[in-house]
Amino acid sequence: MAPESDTATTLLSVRQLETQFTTPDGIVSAVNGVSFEVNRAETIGIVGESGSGKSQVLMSIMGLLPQNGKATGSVRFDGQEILGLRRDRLNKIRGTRISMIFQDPMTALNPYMTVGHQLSEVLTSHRQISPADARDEAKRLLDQVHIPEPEKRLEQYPHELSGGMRQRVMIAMGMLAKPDLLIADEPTTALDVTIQAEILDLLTELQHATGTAIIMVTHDLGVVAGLCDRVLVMYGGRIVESGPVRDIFYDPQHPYTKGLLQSMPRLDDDLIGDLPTVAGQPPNLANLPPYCAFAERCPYVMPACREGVPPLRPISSDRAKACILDQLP
Amino acid sequence: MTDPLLTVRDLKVHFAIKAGLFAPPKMVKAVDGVSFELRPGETLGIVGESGCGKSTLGRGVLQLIQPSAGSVTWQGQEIVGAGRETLRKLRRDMQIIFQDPLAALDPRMTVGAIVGEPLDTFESGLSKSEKTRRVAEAMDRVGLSPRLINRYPHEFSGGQCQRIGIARAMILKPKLIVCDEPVSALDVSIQAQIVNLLKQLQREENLALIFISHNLSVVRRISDRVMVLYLGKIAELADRDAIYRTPRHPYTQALLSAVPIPDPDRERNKQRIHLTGDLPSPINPPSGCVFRTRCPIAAPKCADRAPALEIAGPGHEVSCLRWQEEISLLAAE
Repeated sequence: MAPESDTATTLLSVRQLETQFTTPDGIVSAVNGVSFEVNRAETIGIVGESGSGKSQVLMSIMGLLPQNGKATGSVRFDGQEILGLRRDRLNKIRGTRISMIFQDPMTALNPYMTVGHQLSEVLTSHRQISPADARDEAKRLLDQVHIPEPEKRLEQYPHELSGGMRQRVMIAMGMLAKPDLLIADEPTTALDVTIQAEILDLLTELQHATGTAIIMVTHDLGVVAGLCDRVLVMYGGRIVESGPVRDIFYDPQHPYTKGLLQSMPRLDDDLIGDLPTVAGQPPNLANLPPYCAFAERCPYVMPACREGVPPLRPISSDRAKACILDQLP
Repeated sequence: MTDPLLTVRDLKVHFAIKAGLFAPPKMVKAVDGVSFELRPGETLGIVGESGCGKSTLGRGVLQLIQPSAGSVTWQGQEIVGAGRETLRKLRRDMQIIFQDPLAALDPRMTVGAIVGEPLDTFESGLSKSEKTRRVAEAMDRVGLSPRLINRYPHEFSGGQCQRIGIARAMILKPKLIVCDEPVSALDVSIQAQIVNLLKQLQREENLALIFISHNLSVVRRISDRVMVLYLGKIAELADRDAIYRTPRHPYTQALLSAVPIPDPDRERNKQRIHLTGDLPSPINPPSGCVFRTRCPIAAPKCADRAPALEIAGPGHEVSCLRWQEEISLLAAE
């Protein structure tokens, strides 16, 4: 189905990714056959609710699954297979060509090291650079992510910074090697809305300067609308819809995407009547049905929906959906 | 107009924190002179960023935290400084639900015991069958099947746990529920279910709500009036439509302009008011207007004196020295 990847434009190619966790309660299938591509300098949004598998896709790509997790399939980065790559080989790519930023910067920053020390360490471990030059470079990086008084911040510990400033430090660390790909897992979810807006501006600004591709995982459709070129919607560990951002928002073709968009309160809606809801509860990944995982909540469900898992099928040149309905009523 | 259910006047909640071994303690003014009224059946939304004092305000109103100064009148009766027994009786009419629904429920109690617990306290004479009937009714009203009465909280999803919390809060038919970030921990598709449920219960019971949230879109859905808090003080208080259509305080305008809109064309073309810097420390707030360090229109006079709440329209109060000079920071669209 997929044409051979063209590494001139395709940076990352994920094929049939499956991620499972062995737990005391049995096997949990977090990712169930996910395939997508990321082009150079492109921003991809992965949206879905808790348990949709969106974060586990990222962890699988980065080789950061815990001991009880296993990913199979293929992840090719710039033509090279990186799924299951030895740790030392992976470390040559992680941090330099692929970086990751997280929801909570405190998990990524070392609480015992000053900001300056941490930034310099990343610089000296990836490049031949003297400590004095590394420090100057660290200061320049803090300046670049618009942290006021960078000289003073270098001497401070992470807990002395505000949440927004810590997120800027993490972004500075993630972007310092000018990576080809930045993976961002809910990077603004813990931040206040005015700070979130500034952080999203910063990511856009850095992307324009460096040409870094971004995979942004978020549950906030507003963030996706503002930032992303293409969108993948996940449900029950599968992609249920994919396409360019305007198509997804203005003409959703999967019942879940449509329900999600409608159920979101927004500042510009008319407030008439109750908010439309998606009935029911998200699926249990330890016990997914052998058919469409959204069937139990779908307003358009038909008997055929319970006869098998619908494949993600193309519905136009750049769109696909995993639903047997041809057109939403 | 009906009499207010709740009248809050100049409420202050200050905390002393240790500054050092020998240094005198410093004060955090978490809530610093807040006044408002709430009528039966009305919803007041309280919005603001983390650290603005919105949760402390909710707890101070319910006397779950002892206010440092000010007055809270409940149906004409002063409750600041009221004795334990008086407060205990009042709690029947005032309930609270929390952000993390699972953490708010005792994991060793069945859903039936959790929902029925307020009955043990306030209607202890009920027969067992009558109590079971009341619990089943309360569960049914929030959309939980009474068949689940013997299950434990961990067997439920986040949205269902929040329904359990609402059933517990509703079983005594209170007049007021303080909802502290009740949907923030829930998925988008579940948030809408809970917001609709609260609105439905409110319609049926003439229930008043204080709805505390950082999510301005959710607050707009549910509130009749909205208070914008900044560093423990009211920046702006007005009817819902006035706050969202004609906000006067630069902070309200900046907050609204920062909310991402799930519409690619509108989101990419909208105007935004940029705020510089972070929330100042509440231990050492700026002189004069507390917002001036981040305010796009701050003037020298803003450092000299704190603005009082001024009337900007019917029921519309704003705390800004310059609101009349700079009435709208965004060009008319």
